[in-house]
Amino acid sequence: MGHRLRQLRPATVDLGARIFCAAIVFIALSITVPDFATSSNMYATLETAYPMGLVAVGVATTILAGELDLSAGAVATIAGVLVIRFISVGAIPMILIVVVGFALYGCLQGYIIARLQIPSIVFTLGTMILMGGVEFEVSNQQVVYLVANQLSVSNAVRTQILIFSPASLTFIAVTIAVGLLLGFTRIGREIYAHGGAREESRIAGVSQIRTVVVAFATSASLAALAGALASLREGSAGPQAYDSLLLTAVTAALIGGISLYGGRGRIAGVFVGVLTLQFLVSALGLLSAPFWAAGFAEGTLLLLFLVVELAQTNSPLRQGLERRLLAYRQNQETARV
Amino acid sequence: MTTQSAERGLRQDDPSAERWFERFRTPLAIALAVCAIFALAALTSNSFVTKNNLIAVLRVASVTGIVAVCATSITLSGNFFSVALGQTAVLSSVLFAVVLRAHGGFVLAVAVTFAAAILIGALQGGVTELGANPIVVTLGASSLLAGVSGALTGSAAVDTPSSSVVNFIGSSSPLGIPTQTWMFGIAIVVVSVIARRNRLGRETLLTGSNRATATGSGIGVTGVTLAAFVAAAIGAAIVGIFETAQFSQATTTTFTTLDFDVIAAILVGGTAAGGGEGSALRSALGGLFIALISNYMLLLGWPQGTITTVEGALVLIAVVTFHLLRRRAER
Repeated sequence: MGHRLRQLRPATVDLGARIFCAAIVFIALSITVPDFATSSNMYATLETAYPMGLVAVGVATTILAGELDLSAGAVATIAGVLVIRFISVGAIPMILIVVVGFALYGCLQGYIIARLQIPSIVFTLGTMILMGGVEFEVSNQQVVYLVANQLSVSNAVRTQILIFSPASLTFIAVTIAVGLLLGFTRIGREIYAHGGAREESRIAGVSQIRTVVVAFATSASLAALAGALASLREGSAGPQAYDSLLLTAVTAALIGGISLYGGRGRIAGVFVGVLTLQFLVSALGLLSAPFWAAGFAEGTLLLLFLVVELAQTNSPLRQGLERRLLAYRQNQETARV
Repeated sequence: MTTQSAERGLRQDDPSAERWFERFRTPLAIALAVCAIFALAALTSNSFVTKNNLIAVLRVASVTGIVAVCATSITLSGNFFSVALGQTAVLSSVLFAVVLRAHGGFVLAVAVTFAAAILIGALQGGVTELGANPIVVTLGASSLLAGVSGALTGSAAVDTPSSSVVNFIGSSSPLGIPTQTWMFGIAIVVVSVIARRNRLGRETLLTGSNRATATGSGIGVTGVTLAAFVAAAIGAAIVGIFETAQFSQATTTTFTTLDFDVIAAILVGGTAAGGGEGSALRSALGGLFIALISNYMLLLGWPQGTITTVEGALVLIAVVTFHLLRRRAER
């Protein structure tokens, strides 16, 4: 058994451990929380998971490229408001319009970041503030509602198929597509290379601009899709409706093993992270925890997994621990001699 | 390398006008922008130059300014920004009110609030120093702190008993200037003196401009990061106390735009986002500029969303412009 394990790639072992964790969380909550493991609750869990999940997959792509898109939450809100306001164009055309439109926005954002070599945290912090204002502009400072004769769209988006809905199935399909794109195509490997070893990848001839452009386009278009589907489901969208998705998405990506140093982690892991986090949030809801508990739990989990990740990757924490360990072993050996 | 730094050292002692101009070029440019927007507002709006409006602008600018001046150290030390300062201010405001309501007295309330702020700042600095991305750390801390504030208040407003000291701090104007603005001035002076005349200030700049060199020359970079986060948290605690004192109550719904206002003030002020260059004075001027322009747009009857959009656009313009200027200077 140990022999076989050693043959597996560390990344696969890591992913397995995370799936195992998710399973433990699921089983523990099924036993302790009444009504948790019912098909209606699983449906509800997936329904709240997919907006955050789509943003998480997109943001994870930028993290893998060694960048971070902080404007994703605001983009989701704007897309949601636009889809509700211009639903007369038709639901599917409108979803396509916001997804393609924000893909172009992401391309532009990625191009500026790569071309000017501005730290993406700083630049997207600026676009996050800007888009936070645009949210109010496009919604006329208020919550917009789906017109009454279009409510069938809302019902269509949330139709229950087993524990799925068309929207959550879209999320799963998109996750698989992005996973395949990153894992098995040239541009996907280039994104990993750009995030993991920027200088080496540049010398090896990887475009420094294309990788970042594709990563930010993915992030913005998935955020737009998330906002569009979620607001169609709710039948309404308002300023700041989905801004907080960013934090949850980053937390899910971290739980899923995406390294904030870039170049390490898998989209399958993000999916597992999204489920783990949503299991916990859903259980808190079933236990009718106070309103602040979910945020508190998310913040705690984020910081916890940040430290877990730091202990794994080549971070100052890991280096420090290894130095201590080495010094300790040397001491032991000198003592033995 | 050695000759270069020797030259630098020489030039620093040289009190020539050119040197002085180089040092104050960016603050001067921002100050000019502040004057320009002031003139524009005064000429085109009747209600701008009134005593009440100017005092209101000063109060708003001071709240953002106090935090911006204190938080500049995070940016200078190369740790980008904190997005947990708004929630730190909220929690400080709540803690201050809770202790006051329990009849703990003013001194104890201030002590508890500052102790909590120092702890909050040090914890975030510590996790960041372990090698984590500061924005992600503070994002997590922000929602954790919001949870703590929610648990403390149960989302209801915490009223405070009236007391003469608290009322004085909250809403008096000695010599016609609001107390918040006095504090803003004190913060600028204290932080500038620490930055220019104190070892910690110089170590912060060096850590931000080149962390490896700073570590190599024996600077305790951990201490620098901790100090930077603690300073920012103290700034947030100060405005939290002012908030409770001014309205005689604490709520969890305040300071929603503080984080972005502070980041905007620092960036528009021209402090390098990557660290190593900038000053508290620049952030103070940046904060003043944004407060003036927001007030002007408010007087024009523009909605809050539009004001935020303009603020975001200003931040982006400032980021790109200063980035390009710096890159040209490096070549």
